[in-house]
Amino acid sequence: MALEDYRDILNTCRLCGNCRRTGTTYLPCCPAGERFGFDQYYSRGKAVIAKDLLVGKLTWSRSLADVVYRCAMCAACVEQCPVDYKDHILQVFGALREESVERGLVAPEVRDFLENIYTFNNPYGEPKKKRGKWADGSGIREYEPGNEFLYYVGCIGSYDTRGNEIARSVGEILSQSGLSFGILGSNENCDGNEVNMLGERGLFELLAKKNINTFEKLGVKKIVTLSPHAYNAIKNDYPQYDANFDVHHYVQILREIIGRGGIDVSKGLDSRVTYHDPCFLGRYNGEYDAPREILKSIPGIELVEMERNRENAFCCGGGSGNFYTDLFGSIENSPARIRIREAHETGAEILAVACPSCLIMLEDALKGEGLEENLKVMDISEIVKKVAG
Amino acid sequence: MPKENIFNFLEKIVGQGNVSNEPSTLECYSLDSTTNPHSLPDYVVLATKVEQIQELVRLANTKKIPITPVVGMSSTGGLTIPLEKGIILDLHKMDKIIEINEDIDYAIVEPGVTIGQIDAELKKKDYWVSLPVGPPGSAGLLPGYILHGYGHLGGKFGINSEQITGMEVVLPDGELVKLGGCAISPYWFHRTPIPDLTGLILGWQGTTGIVTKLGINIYPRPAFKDMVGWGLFTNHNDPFPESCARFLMKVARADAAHDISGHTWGAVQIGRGLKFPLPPKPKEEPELYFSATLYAFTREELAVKRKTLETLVKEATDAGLPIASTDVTERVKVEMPTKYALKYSDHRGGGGLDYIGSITPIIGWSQGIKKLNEVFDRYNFTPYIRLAVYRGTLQGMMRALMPYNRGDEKDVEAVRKIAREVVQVILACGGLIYKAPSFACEEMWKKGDPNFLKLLKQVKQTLDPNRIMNPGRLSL
Repeated sequence: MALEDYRDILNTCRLCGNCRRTGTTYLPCCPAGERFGFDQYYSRGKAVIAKDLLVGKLTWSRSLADVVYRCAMCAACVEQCPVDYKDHILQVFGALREESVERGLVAPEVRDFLENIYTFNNPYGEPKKKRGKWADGSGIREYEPGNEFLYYVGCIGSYDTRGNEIARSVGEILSQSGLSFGILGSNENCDGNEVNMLGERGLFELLAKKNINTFEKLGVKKIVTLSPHAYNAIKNDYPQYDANFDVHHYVQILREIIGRGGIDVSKGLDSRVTYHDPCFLGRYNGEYDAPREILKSIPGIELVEMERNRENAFCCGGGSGNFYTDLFGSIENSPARIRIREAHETGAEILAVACPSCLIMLEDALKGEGLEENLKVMDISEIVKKVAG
Repeated sequence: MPKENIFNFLEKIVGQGNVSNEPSTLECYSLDSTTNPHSLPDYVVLATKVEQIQELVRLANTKKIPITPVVGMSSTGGLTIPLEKGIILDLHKMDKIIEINEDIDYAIVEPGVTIGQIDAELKKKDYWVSLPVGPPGSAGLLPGYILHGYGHLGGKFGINSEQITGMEVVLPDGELVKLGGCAISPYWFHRTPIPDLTGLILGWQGTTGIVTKLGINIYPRPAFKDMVGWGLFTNHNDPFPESCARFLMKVARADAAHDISGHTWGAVQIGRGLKFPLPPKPKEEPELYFSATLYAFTREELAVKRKTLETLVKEATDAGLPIASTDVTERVKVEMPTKYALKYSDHRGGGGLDYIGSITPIIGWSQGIKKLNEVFDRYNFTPYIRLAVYRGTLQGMMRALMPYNRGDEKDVEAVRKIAREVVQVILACGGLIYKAPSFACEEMWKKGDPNFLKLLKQVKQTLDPNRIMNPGRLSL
């Protein structure tokens, strides 16, 4: 829908400001609001901006588009909104972004991100043939008809060095469990979740249809993803193009594997661990329990919660391509550094994550805070691999 | 002085990135959910330290630039809209709870501390405070106190401003002053017995200074809660006859409830999520719903309180008054702070909420509610009237709420007219407008003691000769 279609809906924002704070602990919930402070960075402010654009009180400009893009699309505001407007918030943000794209007003970082995906199928501008290199020597094989699952890795897992490590640890754990799966390797394309979030609908449709075609040609029925971003796109947004796959995030499969004894975690790990809920696994898809159950199944782990957890989790700021575009920067009140401080306050030694984007954001923030000696950021798969017998 | 110089001065005070005059910023700070006309500021400044606020005020004074402090901007009174442009001073980042003193039972908060935040923190220690009713948990606590707001425990503790023990204020000349006992003592335990100058700030709508710290009473949180409900089975044309007013006075005098609240039938339906227009009221449902919320530290105390109120209700029914026991509505059962209250802005589909509140003697409610119903009926709006008894003399909040469609110009015009008529109704009942918009102040001053108005102006002139503090408010 175009922004114009939301003209009446925009009036239903009560302007109450509940989008600023969580509903239980009343701590700040909006990463952009915390980073930049002014009202237009909150959902309420964007409702005002959107309405003002429609009635001519505001005109489009680069600086206005910058406001629109300084948002991780984490849905914390949706969670806190008490009125009917909540059902339209992300759509309004999306419509604002679509208009920014159409008007050519996106920031250079966003433009580069989108151009790289269009040209190279990944945001890094790396050649396609490098995409499957992370799996070299791991024994993880390409998908063959008859495999139960396609293990979809995504761009960060394929190209980022740290992302490669997590892609391997998930792949190796799944292999160890005996799960039947394969990867696409260099035939894999970007899932397009961030492209969609950034408002480039045309490119998203291109990517989605290409992927659907690839998956169908191979006879893929079940998909397990490394990243919650890919999980979200394939599960929730691909069906509009007639996709029909059974999609899981790896923690959901891993929970089941551990539960039936497919991986022995009895070696245990004596450690205080806290868990950061990724937005695209938690708020977008309601999966809060699987990662926690995995952690609780490991003897010796003391799971402690941050004050802002589950549906009130504070976003690391990596969503909407920000792990690449870095529109929030890395100063003291950047979302990732705020989150690291919150994790540190629990006394945890390990901050567990289930998203490669979150992991990269939080590891960088850890360095920014100078807390590398006190806290380690680990993917759930890395923790399981550490104890797997 | 060229605008870019002002901008630079402001940035020097609060740091880069904390000043904006971007059109998108200014628009967001030009409005609230009411029908009050929008007004753009010239700058928005994010302050995080008292020293910054002092420097900003000194600059504003030197350059004669208006300055309007804001926190959550969820005010339904238009008070954060800068009538004469200038600087919006956004204090929401000053959100520390500075002290919770459990030996003397007070807390000190910064202006950005929210209702939900203080409640969550006090709950951990088995304390609580009277929370402004209606605003969401993300709203600032301080404005609801310094504006003489209504709290959910007003039946027990009185108006919120009565819970203030002291304050720190930046005066219009930039000087920092403590008001209340904290001006002398290291403890913020009371405003008396020295001359109480907090009256120079309370109720002045930010026109005499900027409060940078607020001391408030905190109270031990009782473990037990109960509610007693009753309905007034009267009629729409005379919903609250004098006999019912006198009954309510008896309930208030019984001193058993932390909160005694009433809602019109329409208000209850709106709270249930029903959209406009409502179906006709069934005959068996009351015109007005009342409830008393009881808290106690022991079950026995709670049982006594409940028995007291149930007996009063039964006596009223037996005496032939149109009063009978009813279930307590969902609207009042919810725990504070609540998002529930915001649902009513969906009633006419458009997110707008305007209201005129008052503090009015209960005996005046009879005429008041009747006339308010007439006003709402005339404009084809659902009568949404909320009532609450305050501890003290027999008075309380009589408030008319107007959910409206922000996108419908006819709705906007109608609400503006309703608001003006509501003001006249309230003043005719001997009431006073709470958080009065400028037009309501004008009406009040017309009726008031001219020497009172003269003194108000003298105080304002003395404290703020350059008229920089939220000018236009209070119609002074």
